[in-house]
Amino acid sequence: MVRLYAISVFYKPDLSKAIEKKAAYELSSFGFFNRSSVREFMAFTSEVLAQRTSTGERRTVKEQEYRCHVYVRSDCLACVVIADSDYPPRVVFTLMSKVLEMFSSDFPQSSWSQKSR
Amino acid sequence: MATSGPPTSYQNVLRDKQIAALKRMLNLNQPTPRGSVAASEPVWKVLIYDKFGSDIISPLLSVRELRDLGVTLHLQVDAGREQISDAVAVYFLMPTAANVARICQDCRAQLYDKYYLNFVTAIPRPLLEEVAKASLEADCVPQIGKVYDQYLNFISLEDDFFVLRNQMLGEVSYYALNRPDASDEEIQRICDSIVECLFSVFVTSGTVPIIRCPRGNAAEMVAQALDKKLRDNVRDPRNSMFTGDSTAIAQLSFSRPLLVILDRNVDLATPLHHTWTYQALVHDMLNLDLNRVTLLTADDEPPPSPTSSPQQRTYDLLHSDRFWEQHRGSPFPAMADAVQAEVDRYKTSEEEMKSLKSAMGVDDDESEDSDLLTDKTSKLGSAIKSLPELMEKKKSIDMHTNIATALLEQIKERKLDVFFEMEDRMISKSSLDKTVLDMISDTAAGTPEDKMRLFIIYYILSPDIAEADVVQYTSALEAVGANTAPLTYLGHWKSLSKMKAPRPLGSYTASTTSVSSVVSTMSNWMNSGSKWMEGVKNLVVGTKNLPVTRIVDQLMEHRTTGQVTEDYCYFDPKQLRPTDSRPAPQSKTPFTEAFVFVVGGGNYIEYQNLQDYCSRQQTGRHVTYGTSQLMNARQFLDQLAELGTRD
Repeated sequence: MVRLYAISVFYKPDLSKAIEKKAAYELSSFGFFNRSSVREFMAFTSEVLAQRTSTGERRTVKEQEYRCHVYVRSDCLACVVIADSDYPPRVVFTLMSKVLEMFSSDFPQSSWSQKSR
Repeated sequence: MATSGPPTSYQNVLRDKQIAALKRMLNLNQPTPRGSVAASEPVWKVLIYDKFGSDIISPLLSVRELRDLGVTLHLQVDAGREQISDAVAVYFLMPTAANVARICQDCRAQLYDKYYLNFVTAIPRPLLEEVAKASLEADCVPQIGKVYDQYLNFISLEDDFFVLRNQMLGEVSYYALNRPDASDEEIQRICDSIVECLFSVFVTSGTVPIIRCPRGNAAEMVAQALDKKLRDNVRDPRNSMFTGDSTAIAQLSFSRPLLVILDRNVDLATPLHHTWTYQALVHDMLNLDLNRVTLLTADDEPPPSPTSSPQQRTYDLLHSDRFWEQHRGSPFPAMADAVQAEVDRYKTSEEEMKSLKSAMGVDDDESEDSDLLTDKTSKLGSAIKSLPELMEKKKSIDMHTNIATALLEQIKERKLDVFFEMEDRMISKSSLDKTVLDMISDTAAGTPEDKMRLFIIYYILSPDIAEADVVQYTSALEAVGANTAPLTYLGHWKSLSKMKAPRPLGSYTASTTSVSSVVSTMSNWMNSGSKWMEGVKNLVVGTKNLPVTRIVDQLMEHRTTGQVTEDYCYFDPKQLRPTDSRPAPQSKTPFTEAFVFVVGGGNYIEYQNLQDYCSRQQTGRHVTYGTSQLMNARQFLDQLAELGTRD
């Protein structure tokens, strides 16, 4: 079964920092009481991944039974998607490009290019 | 050895309080005048209950005791009941809509003379209004004697062991709490029913506890809700349950008890552990249910009564059975010895009786002084007096002999002693003399279920097991026919635990003050003269503390820095404002009384471990253990398998 667990958008003002701008989670496959810890864990993993990926790069990292995909665009916007191992990577990268397109068209540059959250 | 210690002067026994409450109810909730004449005629009544009510009453009061209290007839609420126009009816039901409808129907049909309605837990207002309306319509308002909320929504199986319920267990099981597709409302409902049960426990016991629980799981949710409910009730000036001037709730202890609410996830290995103490073994192998066990008899024995099917015998393991009380916590070999000793003792008394009979009957020749005659008469008199006692003893010995034989058969067949020893060694981190893989592939020992249990315990206790090894074990297990679905769930559980707590899962190390001592004799034959234990190892249960016991110990003695319990929430319902659950205990004196409640399922092993811990303490300490559902290893394994297949 293909599953998407999390999509998050980060802004990378410089190479060592990643600020989360928006994130969405789909955790209904986890037990009720585990959801908050899973969410924290995914947020943390996404942030670390975004930090460590340089501009213009696409990467996939395997973490236990999940796959984390990162894409950093040239204008320092980054998207991180956490999915399970069955999700085809090409679809994910297309998804990430789309998400970033929609994000930058919906919100003007000035609103997200600040260094604070 | 783990026999129960001498009875302490502990006053606040939960089970006794529940019995007292039931007796009060059956006495029509009338205050008993002091110095009343004992020979007054009791009011004859009819008791009407539903399944919940009967589950609560049956472990506590036998039919004979009910008769002593004046109950001549007891009926199910759903059964077709006939009119008994001058009887007093005592209802003991859960306040559900269906039961209320039935009560209204009874009122309209004028079945009885007076109605005393007792609800197991608080009846919600709309249902109460329905009863009022129906009684107005039927014009029988003067006949409704009393309507009472009994707050008895729990089942006391032992003096210090209670369970939430025995019906509709699927609603509050570990599975229901942990399955991924449980909706918020369902979880809320489960939480509410658990809170209601705990609230009843504390109303019956008459104390307001200090609550501690770990963060971030079902236990915290239950604790918060319970704290709120207790606080609202204590503050409510009109009908607080804890004012202390109600009839039977006398506060004899001045310190408040500790309530520790734990989630089953804190320790998944113990429910699957193979047991070695008597009561736990009966529960595991023979399905002890509300203190009743059913054995399949051998073909050549006659059935005990015409009503039971020819293959089954049912035994009640009661509080009043002296042997049971003494030995229910003993390891199996010790219990077997004790039964043997009892049998010998009974035989000698029987011999005495027989010799007395012959001495009386035959030698009635001439020269009997009056002394000799009175001597013999007094002997005969005392023998006759002790006859019923001897009969009781014989019945009890027979029962325990049969049960022990059944247990022994299973132990021998499944080689459960080997499993127990291996698991014990794993838990105390000493080396195994046979690897787990060997044990799994050994076809002579154990059902696939037993092997599954063994492997799961191994899996839980070794945090760094390699992926490839797991695959190897899984294939070995599947080869012997075990259902490996639980492993899927446990894989998730393990990764989640790693995520949540950077601390290793090594909470199973033996505590520093105790040494696990598993003694296996050089040969497999026991040298105690008992004819049964041949072929079974003589293993002794060590004095290790299970994780639950360790947590309770730390909390009771306020020794929490640097330990697993450091980050536990703290709730005190008696404080004016809700504390923000940061641990700031007011007093540093150790608690003497504690209640432990495990959300998601408990078992006799933990209960016995807690009792052993209490009896080892020098200062008197009393722990009451409770759980939402009592499950044995097979039931828990089934739930884990369900959770695994859901993925």
